[in-house]
Amino acid sequence: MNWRKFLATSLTAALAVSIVAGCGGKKEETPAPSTPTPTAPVEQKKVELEFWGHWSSEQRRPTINKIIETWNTKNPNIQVKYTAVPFDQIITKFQAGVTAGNAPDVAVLDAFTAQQRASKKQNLDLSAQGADAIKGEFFAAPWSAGTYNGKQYSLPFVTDTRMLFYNKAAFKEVGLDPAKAPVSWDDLWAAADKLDKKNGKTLERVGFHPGNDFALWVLNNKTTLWNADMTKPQVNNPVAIETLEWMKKWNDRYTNEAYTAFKATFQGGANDAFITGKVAMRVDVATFAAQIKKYAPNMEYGMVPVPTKDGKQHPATSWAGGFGIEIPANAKNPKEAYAFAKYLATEAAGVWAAEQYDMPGWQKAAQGINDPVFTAMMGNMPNTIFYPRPLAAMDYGTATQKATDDVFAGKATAKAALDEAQKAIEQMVKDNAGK
Amino acid sequence: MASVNMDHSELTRSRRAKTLRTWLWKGFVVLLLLAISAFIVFPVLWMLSTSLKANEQVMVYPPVWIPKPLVWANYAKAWTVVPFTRYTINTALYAFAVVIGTILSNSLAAYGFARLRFPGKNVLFMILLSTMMIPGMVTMIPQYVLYAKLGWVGTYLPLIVPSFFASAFFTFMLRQFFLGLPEELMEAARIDGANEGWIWWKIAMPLSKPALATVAIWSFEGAWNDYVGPVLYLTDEKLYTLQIGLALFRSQSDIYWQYIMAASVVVMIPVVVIYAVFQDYFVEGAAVSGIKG
Repeated sequence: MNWRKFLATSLTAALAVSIVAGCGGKKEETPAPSTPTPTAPVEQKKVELEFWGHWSSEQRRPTINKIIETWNTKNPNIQVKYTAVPFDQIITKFQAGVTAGNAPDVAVLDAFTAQQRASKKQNLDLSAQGADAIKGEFFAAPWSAGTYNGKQYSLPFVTDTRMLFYNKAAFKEVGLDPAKAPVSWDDLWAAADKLDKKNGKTLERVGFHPGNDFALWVLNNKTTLWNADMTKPQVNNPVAIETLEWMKKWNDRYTNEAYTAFKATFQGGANDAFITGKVAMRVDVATFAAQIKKYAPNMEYGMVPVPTKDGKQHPATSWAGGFGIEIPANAKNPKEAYAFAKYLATEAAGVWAAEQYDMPGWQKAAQGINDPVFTAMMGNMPNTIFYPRPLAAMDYGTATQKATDDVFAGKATAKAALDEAQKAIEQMVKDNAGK
Repeated sequence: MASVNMDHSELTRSRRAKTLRTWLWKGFVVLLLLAISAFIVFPVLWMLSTSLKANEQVMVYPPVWIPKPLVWANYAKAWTVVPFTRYTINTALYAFAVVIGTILSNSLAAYGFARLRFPGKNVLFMILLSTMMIPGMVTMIPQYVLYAKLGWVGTYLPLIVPSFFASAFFTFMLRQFFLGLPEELMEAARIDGANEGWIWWKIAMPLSKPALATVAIWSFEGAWNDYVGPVLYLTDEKLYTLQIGLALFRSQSDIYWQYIMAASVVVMIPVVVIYAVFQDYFVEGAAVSGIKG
């Protein structure tokens, strides 16, 4: 029948047209991104910058709005528009934008993945924009998070540092001097001997538990899980094994079953284990002080550097994370974007820190805040390291996590578990090298 | 033999025992079903309960089921902290467009595969079905780049236009349904001079309401609940959808469960209403086309 031929032909034609249209679109669009480049030097041009962050709550939003309003008033030619992007998708969206050439001009992203984006040429080399000149104004740990091959790809916005929180009231209760905080691993053990409270098998108060941050306690014990240039894993080195055995000793102290059951009854917030006095000493981010202030404003507590094996502090007894400011590699207005990024990292970080009780990466911003918590945090920054995730195996933490779990559960010795983890990570490195 | 010799009272006793057994069995079944539905309803109850809690009460252990006091303000707060009215309108328009596109394009393609004979039909159909095997994550970035080159990123086009190009799953489902329609009806129409387009629109479509309703409900829910698509393609907060709105309550350090749950309750209502109203179609459509949902 005729209509069939007609249908077939028209369908084919439609398909062909859509394919051609698709290609046509591509051809037309290709020269477009290069057009702004020759016009860039024009000074009078008003530039609009797109800025992405993940802050959207009623607590965060007003501060970021204020920061942007201040900038927009001062810089009529560089107007910034803020868009809140959901936290769990912001990196994916940023990367998709870079690939397609329509990323935002500036974005605040997780510091742990900044080097990975740099290695994939997704973010802009900020050293070329003059970032190295302001290096000294920032704390070393968060700054190093954005350094890749000697160049800077991310400016620190907020950071953090881990400290030991201890309950002074509990110290008094058991006859410990609340002015004398533990400084060594042995001190922690001795204090816990007094602070622990058990009712049969049930734990009523835990003196201290190192948690399961294996990689970080290894740093505290003066070694690393990777070689210096982060290419070869060494997770089963003797010091690492010793560290895991030390963690295991703590876990055994409370027994795995009892501790797991104990832990499950706390969910944070007002029901946090430290805030409710159920854990007497804990290593946590220093800004945890904000939670205490919110939920237990009258609590007597101290915050001191993380105790070490020999009781002496060194440059890696604590560890930092945070958020950095990045510009996509193919930014349309790199100069203007960098000017705004610099403002965010410095002056604006000060506003943010004061209003949000967050540790800024810019030293002056932290110094400007008259608060004992900020004084303590700043004091701890020289002992704080940013330990990057190795590009050779970004997810190696899954292997060491399994080792920690197995050792805690008594399924393997520290050495056997870490030997297995080492093998698994070596395989990851090999697999990634093949890609 | 025993039953023959049974006297009257024995008979009644046996009958009574039988009724008792039936009742016991029924009671057991009802209890079992109640237990299972309680299990399924549990998260919904938790959602309702949390949506009325003060922030301090959300994570209390042991959990509090009936919050004291009932914080109705969470609903108002959740609705204004994130502009949910705007997001509701956006999502409704988006879902509506997707439903129209999905029904038109899939029924047309399905009709072709079910009722027309043309060379290469089976091969084409196999190719279509094979697209179901490609995980969405694989095509995400290439698709994004394609839409970016078309200049569609930042608009609803990448979210809506694809629904006007049939998808494997719905085409397959509708094809199965169309195959079951009596050929005589269409033959009669053809003899009366109807072309295939007319037959599709005037005969196949009206006869397929249950299947189309199923497609409509599923595609509506897909669009209503879609998160990654809108997050990826929409760049203006004014264009955000409800699911993005919900995600905005979560960040690394702070999660506002009471607001998430309050907003989720409201977001869930249309889906529940639609399901309740179209429930019959929903089951029928799946049954007739042989797809178990």
